[in-house]
Amino acid sequence: MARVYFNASLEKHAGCVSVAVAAQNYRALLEELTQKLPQLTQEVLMPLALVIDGEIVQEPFLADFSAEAELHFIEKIAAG
Amino acid sequence: MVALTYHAPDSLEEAVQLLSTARQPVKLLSGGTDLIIQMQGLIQDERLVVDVKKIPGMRAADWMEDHLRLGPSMSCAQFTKRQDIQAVFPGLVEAAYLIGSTQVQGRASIGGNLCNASPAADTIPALIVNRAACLIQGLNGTRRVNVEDFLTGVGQQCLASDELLVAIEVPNPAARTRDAYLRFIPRTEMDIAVAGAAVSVTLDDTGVCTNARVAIGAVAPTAILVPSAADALIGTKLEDDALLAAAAASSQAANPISDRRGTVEFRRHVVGVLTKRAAKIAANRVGAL
Amino acid sequence: MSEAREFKHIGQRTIRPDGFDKVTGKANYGADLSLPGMIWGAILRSPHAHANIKKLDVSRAEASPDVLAIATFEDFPSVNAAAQRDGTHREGMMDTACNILANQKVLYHGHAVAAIAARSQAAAIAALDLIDVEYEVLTPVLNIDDAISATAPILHETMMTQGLAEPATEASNVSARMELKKGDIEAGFAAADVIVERAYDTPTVHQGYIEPHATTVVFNDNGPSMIWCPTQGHFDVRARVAQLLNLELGQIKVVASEIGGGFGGKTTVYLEPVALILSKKSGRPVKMEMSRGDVFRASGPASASQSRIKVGAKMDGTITAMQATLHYEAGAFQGSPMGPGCMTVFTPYDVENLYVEGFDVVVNKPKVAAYRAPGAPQSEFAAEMAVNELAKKIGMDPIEFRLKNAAKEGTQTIYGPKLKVVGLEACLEAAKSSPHYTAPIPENVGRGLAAGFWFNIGGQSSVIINLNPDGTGTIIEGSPDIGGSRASMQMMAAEILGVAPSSLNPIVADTEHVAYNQTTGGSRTTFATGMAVVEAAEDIVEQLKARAAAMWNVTAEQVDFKDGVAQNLSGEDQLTLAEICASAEKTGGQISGRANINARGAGPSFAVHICDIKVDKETGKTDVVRYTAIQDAGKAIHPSYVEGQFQGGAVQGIGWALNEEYVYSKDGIMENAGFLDYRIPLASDLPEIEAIIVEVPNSFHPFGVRGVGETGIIPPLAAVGTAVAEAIGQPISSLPCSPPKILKLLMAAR
Repeated sequence: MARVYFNASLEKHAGCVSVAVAAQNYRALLEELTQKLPQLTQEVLMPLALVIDGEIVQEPFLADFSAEAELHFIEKIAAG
Repeated sequence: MVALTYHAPDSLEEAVQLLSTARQPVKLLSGGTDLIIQMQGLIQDERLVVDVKKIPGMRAADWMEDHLRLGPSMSCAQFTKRQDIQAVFPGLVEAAYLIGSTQVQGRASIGGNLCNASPAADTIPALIVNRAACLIQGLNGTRRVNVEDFLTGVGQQCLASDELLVAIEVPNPAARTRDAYLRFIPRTEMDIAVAGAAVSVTLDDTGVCTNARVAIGAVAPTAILVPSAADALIGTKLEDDALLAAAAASSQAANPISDRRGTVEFRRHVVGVLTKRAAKIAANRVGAL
Repeated sequence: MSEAREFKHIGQRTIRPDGFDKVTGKANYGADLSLPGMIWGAILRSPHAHANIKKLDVSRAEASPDVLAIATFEDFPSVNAAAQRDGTHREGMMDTACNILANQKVLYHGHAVAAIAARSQAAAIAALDLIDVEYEVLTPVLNIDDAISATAPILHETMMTQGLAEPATEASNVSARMELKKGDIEAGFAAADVIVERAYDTPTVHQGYIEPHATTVVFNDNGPSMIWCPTQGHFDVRARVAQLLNLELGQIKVVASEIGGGFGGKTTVYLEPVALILSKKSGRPVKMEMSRGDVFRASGPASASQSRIKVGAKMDGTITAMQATLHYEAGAFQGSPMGPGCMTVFTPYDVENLYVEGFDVVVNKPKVAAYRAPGAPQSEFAAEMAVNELAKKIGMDPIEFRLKNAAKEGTQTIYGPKLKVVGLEACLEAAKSSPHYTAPIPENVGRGLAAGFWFNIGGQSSVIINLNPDGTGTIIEGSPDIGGSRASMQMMAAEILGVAPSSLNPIVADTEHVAYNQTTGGSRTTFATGMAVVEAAEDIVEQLKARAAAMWNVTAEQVDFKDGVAQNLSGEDQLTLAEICASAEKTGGQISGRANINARGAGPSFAVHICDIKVDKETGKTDVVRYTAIQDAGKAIHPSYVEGQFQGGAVQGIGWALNEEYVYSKDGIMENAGFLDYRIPLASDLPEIEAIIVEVPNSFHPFGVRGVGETGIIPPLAAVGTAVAEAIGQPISSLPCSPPKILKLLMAAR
């Protein structure tokens, strides 16, 4: 199963540092996380970028990932 | 309504006539590098602008019997190219060279720098140490005023409403006398002096300073002559002690403000450092004669 | 891509296609468009830093025959309605609207209050006197300490701090708190032999782009309205104006003029919506310009910051823990780059135990905007200064110390992901063997070194390449060119198509002629738009093969295309690209390629800078005597413009470190709103910035590109700060290192 790691700010909502997920794409991931961790709402997650194995995906709506993937949610990076 | 009237008289008489009969406030225009910027915010005011550049002699610099007669509107670019002047008044030339950029130098003039009377004007301390005087023409004749007395406050000089500056007279220096000017800016150019110091020294054959003048800028409402700093140099061979004493005298005489360009403490200290360094440069110039 | 490839055009130093028009004055910038019947807009700005607007009376202006239109906050009806429904204070359109035209309260000196259009610029400025404003002046909040004090005047009554452990119950000037951590920070410091803990601050600085904001607009009821302006993102201008004025995207066309610098500062809107309101009301084209003073007072500078840094290491040089508390000024409305500041602060280091806390603070200064690697220069300055001090305490060379702790492939960052292949170690090695670092430090000179990290982004880019019947072509992109990107696009397309770069003309099209493109920023353009150009060119190559196949009556699989020539694999036949284009009429019409992508896989760029500084000990004046910028470009498409980015970033960072700062009176009036007293470095102030390009390819880009536009501004702050500290033998904790400040340190030490 893929594993989602939460940073300190998200940990407050998630209540844990990481969680294993069966999902293998972004849409399934949102559904699974919000079900497993009700404090982690779509409103919290949707504005964030998804990091898949170190690759930052600013707009992850259609993103897929493997069952071994390491996932992080981060703030979208501003432009300069 | 905008009511800007522009005249460029061909003669001194015409200019004085214009000034004495003007009904609206008058601005004298030389190079315009200060005036035109200042007027941008005043588009609604009535103004008579009198351009003095076309009056004969205003842009010339000629050696008279005992002095250099400098036309106030001569551009800094022309002035700083004059090797004959540079040889005698290197400090005054280096001060003129510091005004603005290359482009601005084509218009900016020493007379304009003087009449604009900025506390930070670079040429003023250099004129003062060289005992320069202003030749002023009015309806009732001419008068001569030393540069240090010409200035009366921030942006203020003693020209009456019917008067204009027609020449700057710089006396020939005594034998073995040279000047130097230094200013402090945080960058290398395109800036306004945070502090400035001009020094003129006369040395005898043994290197003893027999006469000196020190003037400082940007540290008081006007550039000021500092006799105490000169006294600290006279009678010495400009050893470190003498230079430090002159520096201390300049710092003491300074009456600066804190603003976006520097603090009181900074200006007070730095004007002393500049005095010391300028004195050394002037002395080296005498030594090289 | 992994293997070294031979390129024909990439890596060459071609002449940029936009260069000739720029140096001969033919290029049209923001203020260069005038239209028949055009009138001018002018803005009335607040003389106060903080005040309630008791009365805003435009009746005298309305009655004046000179005034053709007036705009106030009331002209943003949809924003107003949304705010009334919502009632709470949130970042977004409401703040943008209130920043563009004040709503009941002015929050900084120069804040726009109302606008007037008249027949000339002078008449519009003169007519501003006809607007009567009554202010109730409030105490201004001008720095972080004042803003977070318990007795501080509150700027926004509905703003509560987000991100606290317990939800906030009272309004505050702190809009948000962020916390990031990794490992066990206490245990990390307990394991350290040496600890450095220091506070640092940096001033408000401006990007200093030479071209002031300007726009010309035409409102059109029966078709798209037109906005002409210099911007880094004309699609974003369209989106914001549409939202503010309740228009559909299709009702607005934005044309990006040539741009005289942006550096992040031209990523938002100020004049454009106001001009469009004035144009709608007057029925005339409207032009508006900011003066230089307006640009300083009322566009978006970069955040001032306060940082507290604690770093611990063992005597062998292993860093055991790093901790930061970071405060960023957002200006009048929330939204500083505090987030990226927290994320980047320690990223150059592979350290087990990290803790970072950040705060976004509102003050009575203009709302900040992006500035090259937004947020990173401030936090990384503090971290790098502390790291240098720690290296010195341990007695290690700053490069060796960094190499021992350097972030590399697999390093777990504090913000989440593990790094992929990155070039920090390569940059440090290049620095170590550079002519600069191997040269002895001259007498009376201080040497400083610092590293920098920035993420870089990808994002949406759309490109069309049209070929002409003679084989020349046009590259239609939608990424405003702020650093030579048109040249890079030309070279990348030429590489794929096998033609001369000069045969392809790259243009930045308006919002109607190419699909959406994200703003030029985040160092994304050569990476993401470059990827779209490559994809569009590859699309063309497939078509060229099919067309050649049609000519030869073979299948496309039987055609190879290389170096601009199609080869019939079943015979001797060859057709050049130009020949295929010439016969396009016979084979199905003209040829064009396109790509619409959302690029992923942007590669971070690390940099290391070395700075030698001489200080006049009697005046505190600094002189940069030697400077070297080393950075990982992934692959330099056009080396001259990569070097230009390194040098430009270095110069802006040096300015930030040495003399640039907003100076405010105690009443919050900006006292140096011009280039005379806001001192960016002059050409004569600096030596040639030596640029060393390191190339550790980014495997996600077809040519290995990483972005290079931003990282270069990060290291100078600490490289300069450390060099000054070394030169004067005193620690530096506050930027800028202006002469009065340095002299004070020197005097105190005597």
